[in-house]
Amino acid sequence: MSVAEDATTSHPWKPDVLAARKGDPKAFAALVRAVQRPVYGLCLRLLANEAEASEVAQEAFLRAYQNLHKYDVERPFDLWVLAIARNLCLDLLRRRTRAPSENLEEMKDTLPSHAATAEETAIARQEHLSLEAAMATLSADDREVLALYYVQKRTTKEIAQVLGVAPGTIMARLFRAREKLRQKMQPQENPS
Amino acid sequence: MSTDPCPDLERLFLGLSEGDPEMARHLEGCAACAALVEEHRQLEKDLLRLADPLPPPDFVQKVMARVERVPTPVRREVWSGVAILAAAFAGIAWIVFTDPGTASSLGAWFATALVSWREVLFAAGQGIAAVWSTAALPLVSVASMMFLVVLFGLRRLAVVQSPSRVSA
Repeated sequence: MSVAEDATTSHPWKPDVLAARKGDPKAFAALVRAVQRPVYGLCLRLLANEAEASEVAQEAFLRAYQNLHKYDVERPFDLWVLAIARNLCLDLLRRRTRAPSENLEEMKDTLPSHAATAEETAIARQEHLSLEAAMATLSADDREVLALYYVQKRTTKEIAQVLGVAPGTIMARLFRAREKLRQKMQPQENPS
Repeated sequence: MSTDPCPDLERLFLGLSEGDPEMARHLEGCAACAALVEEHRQLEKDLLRLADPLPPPDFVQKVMARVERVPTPVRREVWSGVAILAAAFAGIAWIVFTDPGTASSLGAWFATALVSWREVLFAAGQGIAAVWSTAALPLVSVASMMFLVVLFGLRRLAVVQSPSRVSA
């Protein structure tokens, strides 16, 4: 494998980033297509509102485009945009006055799962909805770490990059978020 | 049955994830902690089945429409270059206009440079004539071509290949 091929394999976003910096809109559109799902997904989990999540995710990509010359191509592009999107979501959450639990019903209908197929039993579906609903009641800090680790299957090092914290703190944050989620799930599973 | 007091839950889980033998030993003898750990494992399995939702179908179009409305960002290096040039010109102008002797010495320097450049150009002309008279032009052409190919190759290595890989 040549040096150039190796660079493309390890940094698949690099050619498009370099082309987009030169003003190629197709290259930037390719970047958006490649990372739109995790970016929108994180926004939706944090904001619990489809319209706001779409708006904030778009804004994140626009900011990424405007600051493309500042982006270090050796870092993963998706993590960079995720970090931008996360900061925008947190800004919006700070400005919000309503409680996030108001959007629980909407969350139940919009968030899918790998197991949500035609064969899935009604009980499993109900458990999945309970899990989503319980997750939506957690704080944004807990939701983001759970979403990045379990839903997006990111490593603790990658999560640390997005959140801007030390990698060593992620496992403890994950445990605490999971424990809160477990406690939220208990009354629904054992309504005694 | 374990007689040890149960450790703090966070310590237990972090210890287990780091392979702490003390925590593993406690877990073997404590049914309550083992049940709690099992609950967490089940919860992890359920969480791993969740997936990110698909964005709206027109999401990319909306982003690109917004991108088209903003001017193409100029690279920071360009602005840095412009700033350095402006500072250099300002510095030169300041020296020239504040020191009366500088303008005259600059003029003398320019005249000297012009004379010496005439000599350089004359020597280059003689060199070209020598190449022409000894029929070395094909050799010089091939060497120039090779030089350009190497330069082009280096540029290709440093810049972009096809941008389609990311979109795949």
